[in-house]
Amino acid sequence: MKRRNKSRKLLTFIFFITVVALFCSIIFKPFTHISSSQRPEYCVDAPPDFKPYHPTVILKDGKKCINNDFVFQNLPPYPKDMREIYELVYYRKINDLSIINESYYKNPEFYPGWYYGGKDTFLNPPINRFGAFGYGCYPADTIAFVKPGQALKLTTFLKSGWVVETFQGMQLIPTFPSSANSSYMGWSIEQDPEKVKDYFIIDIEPDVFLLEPAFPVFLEGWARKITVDIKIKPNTPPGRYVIGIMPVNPPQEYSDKWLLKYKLRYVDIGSSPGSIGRPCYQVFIEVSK
Amino acid sequence: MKKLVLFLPILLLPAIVAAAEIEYAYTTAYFNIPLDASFEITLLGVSAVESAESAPGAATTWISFNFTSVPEYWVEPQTEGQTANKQNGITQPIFRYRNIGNIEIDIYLNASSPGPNTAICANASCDGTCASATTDCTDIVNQPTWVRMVDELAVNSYLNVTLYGNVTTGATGGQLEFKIYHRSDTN
Repeated sequence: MKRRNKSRKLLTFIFFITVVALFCSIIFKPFTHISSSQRPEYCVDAPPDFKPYHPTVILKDGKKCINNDFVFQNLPPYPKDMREIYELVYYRKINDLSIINESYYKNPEFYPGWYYGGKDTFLNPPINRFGAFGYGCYPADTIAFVKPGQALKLTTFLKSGWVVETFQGMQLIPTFPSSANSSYMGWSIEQDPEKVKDYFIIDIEPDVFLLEPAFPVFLEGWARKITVDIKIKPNTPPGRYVIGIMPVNPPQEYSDKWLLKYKLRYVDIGSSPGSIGRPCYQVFIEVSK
Repeated sequence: MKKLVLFLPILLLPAIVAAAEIEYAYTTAYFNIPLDASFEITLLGVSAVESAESAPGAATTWISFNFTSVPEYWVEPQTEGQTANKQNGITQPIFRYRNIGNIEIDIYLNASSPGPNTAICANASCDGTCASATTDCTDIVNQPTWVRMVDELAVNSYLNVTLYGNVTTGATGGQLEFKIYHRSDTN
């Protein structure tokens, strides 16, 4: 009889716990992850006398907020699972980035920099200055393990600087740095660029393009998906190599065409004061027999 | 027989081309490191952003040092020739860099020569966190190695760069063109 009472109490307790857990999962779900198709509101407390001084900012319920309707008007709708995809890419759960479509990579929330500086740019736009140059690649490094005769199809995303208002014309070319370090792998690579360039066949798509402004309105082409196809020739000796993808000036005919179209808002990335010393994107390759 | 010999290489050509094509097997043995190596540079001046409805306004990107006599020293540059957009020492630097990636970066400068008897130097200060910045005005024209302006500029930190120009006796009059090159490295 006592044992029966005990098991009845235990069953009641388990039932109670289950009900509470179900209740909590329903109540707290919206607070634990973003599942809304609405873009988050980016707001901070506004000073009492604050008046919006720039089209990227509005005053909403006493707060200074990014003017979402203005800033993001040319971008694809904010995906419901943006935060999940962001985390999966950031924590290397998704390495085949070719599956990431423009709904993600054309929205700034896909990039880590948005959270620790990007959104602040739009909340506090610069005064008496304008963004002339700037770009970056995400991810910036890939590590690959291959054998001679194999090939890799890699993806990275090249985007304009947050505050950049110019149309930046560029061509992506493969480079072979004489030295490079992968702090992640602890690799320090020294190589002879003249020899190494003969070990690989590299195709970049697209290779000539215009990176459109990100400020004060994200234009549709502010971020581009870049595919890098690398074939390792059968005669490649085992070893560690590094291949860089570097933006340089576009061919003159493109430059001339874009200059006439965008006039003072056009810059050649290579000839302007804004090149990044390391390749924008680096592929560290270990070739083994 | 002679005709056959002449034709033979042509007939063999498709076979030779086919042999040269190597089949490459695609592998997925790779992973991405979620580093973001990015930077941006702002110049003094205001674009016509206030009038923009859906697109940015105009933004010109050239700077000039306007000398009025020879010799002349410590002349500060201005954007698009506008005195309103003139550098005013470190309080109003001509270039302002920002590390918008997620790794520390170094930034270097180098410049082509505007002409004989001219000189340009640059110095810098960090607005945020960095290991060290080049505070002495350092010659950046035609240097054999890039001149480092900052070491380990932290994520989301700024670097203010100021430039100064000198002309001495013998400098050519008129408009001289030169380029300033920027470079940033990750650590």
